[in-house]
Parts: sequence; structure tokens; C-alpha cells
Amino acid sequence: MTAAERSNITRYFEVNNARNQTRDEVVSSFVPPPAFRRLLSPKNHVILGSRGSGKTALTKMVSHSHLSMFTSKIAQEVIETKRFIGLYVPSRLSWLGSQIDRLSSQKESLEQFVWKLNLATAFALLDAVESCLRVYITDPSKRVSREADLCHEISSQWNLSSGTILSLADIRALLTKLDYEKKGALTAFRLGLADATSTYAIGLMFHNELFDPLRRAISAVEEALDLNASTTWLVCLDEIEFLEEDHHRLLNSHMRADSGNMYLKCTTLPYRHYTLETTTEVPIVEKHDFEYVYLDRERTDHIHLDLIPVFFSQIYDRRMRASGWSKTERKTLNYLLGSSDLLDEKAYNWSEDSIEMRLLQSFANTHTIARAKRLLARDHTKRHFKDQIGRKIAPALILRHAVGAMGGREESGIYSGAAMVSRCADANPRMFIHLLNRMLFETISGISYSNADQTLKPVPKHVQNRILLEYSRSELEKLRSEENGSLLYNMISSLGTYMHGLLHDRPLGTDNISSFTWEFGTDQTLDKAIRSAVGIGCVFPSINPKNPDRLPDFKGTFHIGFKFAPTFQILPRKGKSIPLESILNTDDKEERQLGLFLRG
Amino acid sequence: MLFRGLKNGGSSDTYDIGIVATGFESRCTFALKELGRRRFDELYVIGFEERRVEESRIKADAFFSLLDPTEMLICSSSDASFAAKILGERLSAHPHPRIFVDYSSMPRAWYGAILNYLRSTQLCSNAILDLSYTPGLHEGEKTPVEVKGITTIPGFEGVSSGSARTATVFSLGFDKWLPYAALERVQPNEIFCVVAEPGGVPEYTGRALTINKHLFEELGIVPFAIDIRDVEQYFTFLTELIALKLHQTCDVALVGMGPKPHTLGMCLAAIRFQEAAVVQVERRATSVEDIKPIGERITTQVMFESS
Repeated sequence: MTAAERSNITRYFEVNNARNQTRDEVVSSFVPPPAFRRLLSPKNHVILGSRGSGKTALTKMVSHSHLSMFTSKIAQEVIETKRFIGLYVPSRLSWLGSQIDRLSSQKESLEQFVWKLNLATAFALLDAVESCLRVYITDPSKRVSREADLCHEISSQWNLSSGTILSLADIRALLTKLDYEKKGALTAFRLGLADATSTYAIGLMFHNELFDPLRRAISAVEEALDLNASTTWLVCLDEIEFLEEDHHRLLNSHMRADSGNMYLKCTTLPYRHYTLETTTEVPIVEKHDFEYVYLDRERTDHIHLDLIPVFFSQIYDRRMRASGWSKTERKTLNYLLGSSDLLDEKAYNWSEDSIEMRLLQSFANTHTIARAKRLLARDHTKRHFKDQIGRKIAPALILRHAVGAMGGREESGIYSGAAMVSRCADANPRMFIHLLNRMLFETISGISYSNADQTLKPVPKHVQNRILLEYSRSELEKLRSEENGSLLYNMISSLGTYMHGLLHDRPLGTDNISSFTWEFGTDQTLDKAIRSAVGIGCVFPSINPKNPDRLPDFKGTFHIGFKFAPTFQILPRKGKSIPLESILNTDDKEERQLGLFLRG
Repeated sequence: MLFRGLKNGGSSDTYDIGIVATGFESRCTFALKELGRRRFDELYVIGFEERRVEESRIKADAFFSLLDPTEMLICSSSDASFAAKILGERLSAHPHPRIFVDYSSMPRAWYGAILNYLRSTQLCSNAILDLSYTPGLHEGEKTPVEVKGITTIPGFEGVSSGSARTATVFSLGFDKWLPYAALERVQPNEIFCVVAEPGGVPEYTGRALTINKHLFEELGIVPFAIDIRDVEQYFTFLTELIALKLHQTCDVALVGMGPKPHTLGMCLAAIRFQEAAVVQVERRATSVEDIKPIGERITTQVMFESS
């Protein structure tokens, strides 16, 4: 393999964030989750997902520029029939999040927000138009001519300069100039050097009602491109968690109103759709005015947990293929990472003098041991024993034994295997790709790469363990810097420490306690911490199968992210739950033990 | 007025207007102790609304009171309206003002507002602004800080170019995890990192490199090293980077987490290039550290002229 080829592999895995990827990379590496089909519909959606869950990739793929390059059947059908045209609007700092907004009056702040969002959707529309022209007008000279006519019409709708406008690039340049003039004028106004009227007059059209400039331009586009009356426009607003509650009210108002042929798809973190209120007396109603799509549901659901490695195998395969590896060369994810001693189904040996049975005798509680004896005595095939005790307790026994055998060294390989890496990534594509990048980097730098036959070799278990442990610890440390970081860090640490104690310091039963229940309204501080934790993906709620897109509002069961399993030496499994209060009121001894894990 | 350029080093002349900040950092009085009251025709002292009962703050307030300043104002750290108040009133009396600002203890919004005022005003035909910074000694281990928010500094928001790409330049200091918060918010396609070398104290660079080692490894990049005292060089580095590599292909986010002279360089580069935004990661510190002065002051002279 040449250096260029090696670098190509890591490049495809280094970029683990859809916002950093080029359009080609997003499209070539996209593995559509079930939510993808749902978004291609004439409905408003609020897409909830923790960081790295794939919200940005998903909404980018809905945009026409990306969808037109995707080879799936549904994508091709949508593009050919012009049923939907998607626009992707990122949340750029240049139009959001100036400190100045805090000093403005509410009215002023909202006015500026509307102006900026109208401008941002204008840019997004130009991208969609560019894509539509490329796809629907194949003759180059006709395309140029149509673009010039359309640009003239759009610039007229937006009251832009009356100079010569021949192309979309010209309009973009004008919009950029407008943005610059507006910001300069606003700065001068706030310093008392300009008056409000002249400041307001810049880009006056964009002070119209939210999405009005967009709708006007859409009318021109529909005519120019002979779009059907049934064409629906999907406006994807990414990361609305960075907006204020007032802004959400405004967007909700649009979701409630009859939008004609335009619908919103807004992404945000869980619990960061701040309100259901609108600018009128009437709030929006879920399932009527909009629907939630909770991306993490597919990954926290008990049934789907086992399917995550399959999903990740697809991601791995697609990225390796995109970086030029043939099928035989790139191997499979399972080949690269191997099986997991803790998570993969295996045939344990429960004969009398087997290791498993000795571990059971050493670590299980008396009740479990007695029960085991009864079941074994009754059934020489051991089937009941294996079902009721064996397979439930075996991973805990193995882990406890492995940790005990380490004696302070960190060179265990217990946290390894494709299933383990998938699980520790918390089913999060971005995290998974980040971990895989680290694993591949070790592989390609020589540990597991054979120059002789130019193939990948499996990543050694102790290397996987080390990478997962480093990742786990850094994710815990990073919590300190989050908003409410001390609270989050302490909460996760307490939970992890408690669960470590259950697994390593007490006799084991078949019930693995690794979740907690919480009733919102009990303690405001903890309410806030749990919601933040769910938002950033370090705690995950159990989902109600009857309403899987709905996050717990009043009472819920949650588990800490599996990413923390290596730090606290616990199993990355959902198990039984106990009230959070019981865990947090535990005695100090367990808290002092936290230092051991974090120091290693 | 237009921003014409900058150079390292100030002047030994007197100043028409001096603007300094009083706060809990002991270094906030260093410049005036060195220069003396007589160098300033008018002296304005801006005090933080927050943390007024810290012992070091009380001492600083007392020091400045004894200098008989023209005015002492109290502002919150996010309120820079004093800039318009002071300069709006005084520039008409000084058509070619020489202005001194000690920004050692100032938040970015404050000295940013002064820069913005000078570039937006037509009240005078030229102005020379000497910006002074006193390096400080950070004694304790940096306690973890929480992110309060990630925003752009008023007047330095950058503009949308419609580009799908964003580049970020980090000036790095001792906050290990805060750059990740900025990365999460900005999500750049290209990343550049700068560390001060030499820094304000001899061990600065080694410490900054060690603390940020994790970041460099994860991003696979090698940081640039620029002298903390050479704001001119830092400005040139940024403007060349933007002009030659990023201009018209990327929106640019300049994230200042390192020493203030580097952040000043970022503000000046953002004046030059409209697509560059100066980003601040606002922190909620869990403890307060008195920063004592160490080493020589760093002065940067910035020139403004009418167009």
C-alpha cells in the first residue's frame, strides 16, 4: 500500500462529523437510518438526537444537492418526480450568537433574528437552485440561460442591486455584501454612530415576515424549472438548540400555520425543543402540527442494541469502499476487531471444574449459588440453568475476574471486539468513526499491517482496550467543561462508582443493575442535569415502545452512556433500574474509590 | 476611519485619552504605576460590575481613585457602551487623538468596542491607539471551567459567504477541554492552532503544549508558534493565511483561548477580512485567580485614518 492509500483510509475515518465532510463524502458514506424515509414527507419534523447521532448527515441528505447524488431507490424517485426539494440551513456563528443580542431589546433581537434567518435561507435556496439546474436542465447552454433569467427574477424579488446579475455566484456575492453592510451599520448604530432608520433599511426585504423572501423566490424557481404544483419544499434548519426560546416560538408558529407547500425539518438536542408555544395563544400540537423523530431511539431500544454492530459494519464497509479498498482487502469489521468476550453469545462451559463454574462459586451470592445447584441437579442438560443463570451472570463473572487479574495494570483486553466498540460508541456514528479512526491509525502505522500481502490484520485486543479506555476517560473529563459541567461530572461519576461497587465489591446475582429511574420535578438541579446529560449523549432514556419518539417528561428510566463502561469497569448493558436518589445517597466510601478508576 | 496598520511598541509621548480597567487581577494597576498619571490628559477607569468585594479589587479601586481620574465608570463585562460614551464625547475635542488602552484585564467586548468605535467614527481624521498588555503569572493549576456559551464578539461576527466550508484558527492557552466546545459549535473543515512562543513567562510554551497535546494528537496537527510580544507578526500570519488560503473559499472563525495579544491580533485581522468572526468561549470559572504582573508590558500601536 502506498502512503497515499494509507492516508486516504485515515482521511475517510478522520472526518467523523458530517459538517466537516464534503458533499461527496457525506453521500458516499451515508447509511440511511429508518428516520430518513420519514423525513421525505410533507410534514414538519423536530429531529432529536444526541451529539454525533447523525442529525446533520440526515438533514444534509434531504437537501437536493445531496439527495440527487444518492443512488438509493427512494432518492432517485424523489429527484425524478420532483416530489420534494430540500434546503439545508446550517447554524453558522456569523448569523447566530453574537453577544450583542443580549443587550438588545426583545423586539430588536427578534427582528435581527428574522433578518439573519431569512438571509441564511436565501443562501440555502441558491444551493438548491444550483442543484436543480444541474439535474433538470442537462443542456449546458440552456442551463446558463435559465440560470441568468432565474437570477434576475430572484434578485428582483429580493430587491437586490439593479446591476448585472447573471449567475447564482453574483447573487451570493450580493448577499454577502448585504450581510457585511448590515453588520457594519448595526455596530455603528449600537455605538451611537448611525440612526435606526438607515440601519433598518439595509436589506429591507429580509425584514419581512420569516420565510417570506424564501417563498417569493420559490415561486420564481417553480416557474423557471417547471416544477409540479405538488412539489413540496423541505427547509432543514440544523442545530436549533442554539436559538432562544423566542425563536422557537416563531418557528413553532410556522409549523402551526398552513404552510402551503413548505415544511420545516429542525434538528436539535434532546430536551432542547424549548417550547411548544407560538406567537399566538395556541401552542403547536405534537402529531398534528409536527412530529418528533428521536434518532437515538433506534439505538437505545433493547431490541435494536444487537443490531447496532450491523449498522456500524455497513458504515465501515461503505467508508472503506469509498477510500478505494477492494472487498478482499478491506475485510470486515468483525475481522478487524474480533469478537467480544463480554458481549458476544458464546457457549460457556458449565461443567463442574470449568473456569466459569469456579467463578460462579467465587463471586455469586448464596442465593444464586443455591439456585444454580437446584437447577443443575434437576436437569442434566443444564438448559434451565443456562437460561436462568448462566448466560445472565457469565459476562459479570468474566469481567470481575479480568479486572481482579489485572492487579493495577492496564493491559487487559477485556474491552475489545466489534460488539464492544459499537456498544462503547453508544451507537453514535460520529463516536464510532472516531474510535475506528484510532484503531485504523494503529493498524496502518504498522502494528497490524502486513506489508507482505498488503492486508489489514486484526487490531490486538489490548490495543482496542487501551483506545476504549482512553476515550472513556477523556469523555468523562470533557464533561467538566460542559454547561453545568461540575454537576454532570459528579452525577456520572457517582453513578459509575456505584455500579462498579455493585459489580466488583458485592456478591453477584443474576440481576445487573445499570439503570436508574427519575421523576422530573423532584429536584430542579438534577432535572436540569439529566436533561443536559441526555442532550449531550452521556445518559440515555429508555423508550416507551408505544411512543418511541417521545422523551420522558414526568418519569423515566435512564442508563449512563456505555462509553463510560471502561472507566468504571462495568458492563455496557442495560439492566435493572433503581431510583437515582438511592444511588446518589450512597456512602462516601464508594465515592472515594472513584479516584482509583480515574487514575488508572 | 479605516484601520491602516499596526506596529509593535508604543510611544513615550503623552496621551489625550487613557482607558484602563480595574478588577481583581493585580496586574490591572501595573501599566499606570509604570507610566504615571501625568502622561494622560484625561484618564477613564472602567470597573467591572462583578466581583467588587475581592481584596485585590478593593486595592485596585483605591489605587485608581488616588490618581484623580477624569471619570470612573462601572460596567458589566458584556456592556461596552462606555466606549461610545467616552470616545463620542471626547473625540470632537481631539481631532488627532492619541489614545492609550490597557486591555490586560479587559474582556474582549470592551477593547473590541473601542476598536469598533474608531473604525466606525467620522469624528476625527486619524487616531493612534496604543494597546498595552501586562503578562500575568498564573500560579495555581487551572481549575476546570464550564462553558457558559459560545458567541462572537460584537462587531466581529463575520459575514456569511454562502461557502459550505469553515476554517478555524485557535490561539491556545491552558484550557484543555474548551477548544472541544468551540470545535463542537463551529465544526470547521480546516483547523489551525497557534501557541505563544515565547510566552509571558519562560515555562508558558511547554505548559500550553502539554495541556493541548491531546487536541493536537486527535486533530493530527502541529501548532504554529508565534512570540506573544509580536502582535504584528501574529496579525501578518493571520492575514496571509486568510488571504492566500482561505479567502472566498471558507468562512473563518478565530477562537482566542491564548494570551490576549494574540486575541488582539485576531480582532485586527477580522477588521481586515469581513468573513472572519472572532469567537469567544464564555467561561463560568469555578474559582477566581488573582493574576499578578510579570515581565515587561507589551504595547501594540494601531493606526486609524479617514478613508
